[in-house]
Amino acid sequence: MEPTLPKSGSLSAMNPPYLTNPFAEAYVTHTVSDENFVRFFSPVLVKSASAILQAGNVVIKGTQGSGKSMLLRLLDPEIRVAYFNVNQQQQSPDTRYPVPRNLRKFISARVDLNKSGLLDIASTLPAKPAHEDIADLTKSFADFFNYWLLRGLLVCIEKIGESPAIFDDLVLLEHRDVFASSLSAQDCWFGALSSVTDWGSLQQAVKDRVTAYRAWANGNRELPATIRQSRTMIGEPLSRASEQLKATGVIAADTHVFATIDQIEALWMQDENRRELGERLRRELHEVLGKRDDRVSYRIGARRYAWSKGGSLAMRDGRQLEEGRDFQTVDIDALLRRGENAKGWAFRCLARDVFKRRVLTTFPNSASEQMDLAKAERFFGPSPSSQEVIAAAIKQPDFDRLIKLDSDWPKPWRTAIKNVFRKNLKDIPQPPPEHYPYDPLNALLLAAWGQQTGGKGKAAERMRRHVCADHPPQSVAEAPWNKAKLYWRKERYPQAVLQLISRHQQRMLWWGIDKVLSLCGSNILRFITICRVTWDYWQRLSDDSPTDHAATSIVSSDIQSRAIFEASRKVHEALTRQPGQPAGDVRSWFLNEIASWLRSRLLDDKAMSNPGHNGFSLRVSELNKHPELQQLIEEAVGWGDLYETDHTSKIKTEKSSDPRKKYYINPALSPFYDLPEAHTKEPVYAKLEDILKLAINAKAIPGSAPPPEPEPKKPNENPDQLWLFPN
Amino acid sequence: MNARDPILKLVTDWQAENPDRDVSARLGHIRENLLFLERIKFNQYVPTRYSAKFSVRFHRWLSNTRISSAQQRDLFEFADRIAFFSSDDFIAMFQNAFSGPISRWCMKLVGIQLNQSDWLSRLNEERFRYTWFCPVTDSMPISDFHHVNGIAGKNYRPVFRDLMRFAKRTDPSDENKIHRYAQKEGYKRVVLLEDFVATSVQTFKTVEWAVETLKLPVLFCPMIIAPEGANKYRELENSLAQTPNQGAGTPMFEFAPVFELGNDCFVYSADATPDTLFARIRALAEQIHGRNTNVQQQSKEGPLGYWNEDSRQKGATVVMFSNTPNNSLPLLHRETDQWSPLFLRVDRCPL
Repeated sequence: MEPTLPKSGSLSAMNPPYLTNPFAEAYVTHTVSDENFVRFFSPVLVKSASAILQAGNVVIKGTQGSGKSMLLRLLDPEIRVAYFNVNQQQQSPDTRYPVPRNLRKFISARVDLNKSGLLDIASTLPAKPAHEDIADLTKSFADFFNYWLLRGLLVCIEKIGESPAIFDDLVLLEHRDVFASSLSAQDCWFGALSSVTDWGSLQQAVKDRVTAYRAWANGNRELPATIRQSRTMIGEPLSRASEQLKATGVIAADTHVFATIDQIEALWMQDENRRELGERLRRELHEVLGKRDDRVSYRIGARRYAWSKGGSLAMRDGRQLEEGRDFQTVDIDALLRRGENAKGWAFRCLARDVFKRRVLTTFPNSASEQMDLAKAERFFGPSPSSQEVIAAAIKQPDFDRLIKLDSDWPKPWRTAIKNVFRKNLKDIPQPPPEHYPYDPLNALLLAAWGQQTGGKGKAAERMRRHVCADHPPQSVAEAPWNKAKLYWRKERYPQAVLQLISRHQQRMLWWGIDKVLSLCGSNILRFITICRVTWDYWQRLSDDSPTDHAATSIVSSDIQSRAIFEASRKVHEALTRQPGQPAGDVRSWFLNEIASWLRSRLLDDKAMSNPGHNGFSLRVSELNKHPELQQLIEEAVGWGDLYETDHTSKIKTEKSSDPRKKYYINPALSPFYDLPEAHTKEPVYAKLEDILKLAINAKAIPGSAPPPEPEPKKPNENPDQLWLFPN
Repeated sequence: MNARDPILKLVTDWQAENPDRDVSARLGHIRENLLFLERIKFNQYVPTRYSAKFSVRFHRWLSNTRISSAQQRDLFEFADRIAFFSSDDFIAMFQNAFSGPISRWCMKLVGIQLNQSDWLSRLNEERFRYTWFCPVTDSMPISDFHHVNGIAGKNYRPVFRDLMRFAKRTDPSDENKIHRYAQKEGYKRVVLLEDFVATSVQTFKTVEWAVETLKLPVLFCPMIIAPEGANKYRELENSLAQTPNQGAGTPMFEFAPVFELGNDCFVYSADATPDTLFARIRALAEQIHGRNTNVQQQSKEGPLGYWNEDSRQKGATVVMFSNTPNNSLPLLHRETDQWSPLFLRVDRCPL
């Protein structure tokens, strides 16, 4: 770590000017020391996710970077020790162990299916395995799994026993030899632990078993016959261990035993020859949950769609697990998602807290600095209004280039729009900044209003597609400037900004804390990425002049905008490198098609009738009819490329029994794709063929594009009868 | 904004001006790639090792006066197309040369076959003991070649270009001294090595002279060669193959390069469809050359470097860690009062 700031100095006085980047380390879970975990971890979600601290099986779902593994790491005894040690030095509420006192009576063991090497035994299968080979390996996996977790549990007990004060005497080590004898006598081991007489020999026997499996997986030697003949049933040994720990008094009867299985998505094996194995292993794990064995509570960490993918939570005999009875779900993405009431938005609190912790860990003295570097809202400042974005992006607004009125516009409208452009309409709502010479934003809105309504008049007159010669609004008391049309305007500002900036051949600009938070899509990893790049750019693109403490943000809007685009580009690049079925590069081609399609719709919609078309909606029943497209979209959602929510259709004829889902591109990609990130109004009510065509064009799924839909037939009985919808 | 990282500022300015996300993404990639190459390769460049580092020179290069913003961006993108050969690249080429063309040549001359049980020991004897490795010019780091390949016991490894120069000036019988030395040492063959060959102006006569003087089989094995030079040596190889020689069936000269430059290493190539970026760089090179009238008068260096009129490739993008060849684009290496280069060249001869 870099040295702390000089006590007498300020940030600007620090030499050299390049400061360490507090966000350089993105993945805290696996690489950061226990002590730094304490400093970095934000407890904002602990209360909402308290199910993981209580008895019962819990599945924790979330996209990559949502914070699942961080939460699960809270159960490790090493982390609790680290909290104790750090808090002793710092005596701060920020370094107190965040698990509530009444929920601290637990011991735990953890296995990460990606990192542990447990799945390496799959390499012992022949190239084209028979069903018997897979069945046999499944038994070995179950046994390896049991011993692995048991080993973890024994280590946990030792660790807790070393620091009785920290753990409030949670474990009584003096009974552990009795426990070891008692456990080894259980029939679930099939004699494997017959040589165990005490704690030490129990640890050794378990360790030897794990080592034997690893050597076998590595191809160093065959799995001994003694192991083959004493393979245990999944889950049972750990349950017996829990039972005996309580029976022999090593732990109290009300102490929970937790077993965590993280990265369960590793069981979705991509290799064709391994798919059956993956399915069998998943059934084994489902079996453990299905037992509803209250002796051990399991925590399963899974990415979205890695749990219940394809709708299957089958156990060995084909029965399905039931949510609510066999397990509960904690959906991190749902907990952090922004609801209708932005005030209670958990992600905002989480992001602020993470920012503060990271900065204060790297620069402990910065809390006393005038510019308050540890506050995210100071660092990024307030977000701009749409007018401020236009003023920043379009330095020399040109009417013809920006507003593009064709020759069909009647003169009164043309004049009115020009007047608005020239800021001649007084008291217009959301005016541009004073220094800005023109008002293209409101002028474009007026043009859209004109196209939507055909000017003032009755509903029948508004049905006409073209603008009529009626008078445009003359004052701000009329629509679209009046209070009645407040939401009409608000919903269209992002689309208007997009159209103006695109016509000016520029990229969109992004800055401010609210904008940053909405771009993160409630994902803390995205937030850290944006912070990291912004910090880096702030250092590289600033000069040595003293910081202006009166400025609304520490980092200028210009630098933020550049950094946010670069962060978005990095998110896109990271996405292309992700695995999956199909892999990230293929999914990114699909995303490119979707983004281009949505962007074109928003740009071409000059009447701004559909400002919400930065997302699309599909009927679930339709999607189910095309498994390949469904797989593609589910993978995209599972890996966080697309965001999915339920969609209550506004189409009256649609049945509620035929639900829809709406999909938006990951907001972190909005700067890269130059799309507004806000979800306003209704998304595109897409047909399956629309999305299918995009997927085929992207070569994300095989096939040829479906033929275009035939034009609706015009009735031709009476040639004098005008068609209701003229071309 | 006077940025601490002016290159980043330029890149982000270009990204802001360009709504095409693929172009913007490419600019970001180029910058990252150049940062990476700076760290692992560019800062090895010997002529500037103890002066301004790459990023500073790069900014100066992009900020050269009287070039437009579009040309500045072209130079930025062109930097990603420079064929920079680091010291590690040369080490790899030395190893490749020894275990590849040189070994195959030795096996061919002696008749070693892979199905012979003692093929390796015989090969090692031939290439370590009976083969003499010498440089054509002093830019070839011959001692590195020996060290990397573990070739010991070769006390004299003279530069043949210098031998030719001094041998002819003093006494023709000096040429026999070289032949006698080779015989005394028991060498059965000679490998002539060179780091970079373009038109072969510097090396061709030397190699011809070596073949005449040594009266031993000669393999010319340059690490990097342009197609023009390679064609000349292939012609020499063919013509000498038709000449009667001492040992029946023993060719006196063979040519086996390690790396032959492709058309993508030249901003001008008559054999390939023009690359639009390279076309713009050519135009810029002409423009700059037109300004540097002092250089024009004093040297034969054209806007695309030292090439013959009828050369089919010109304007190499090659930079070696040791120096930049004068066949590479002058806008890369030529310093004048009107131009700050990216990889300053140190000339052997005065201009």
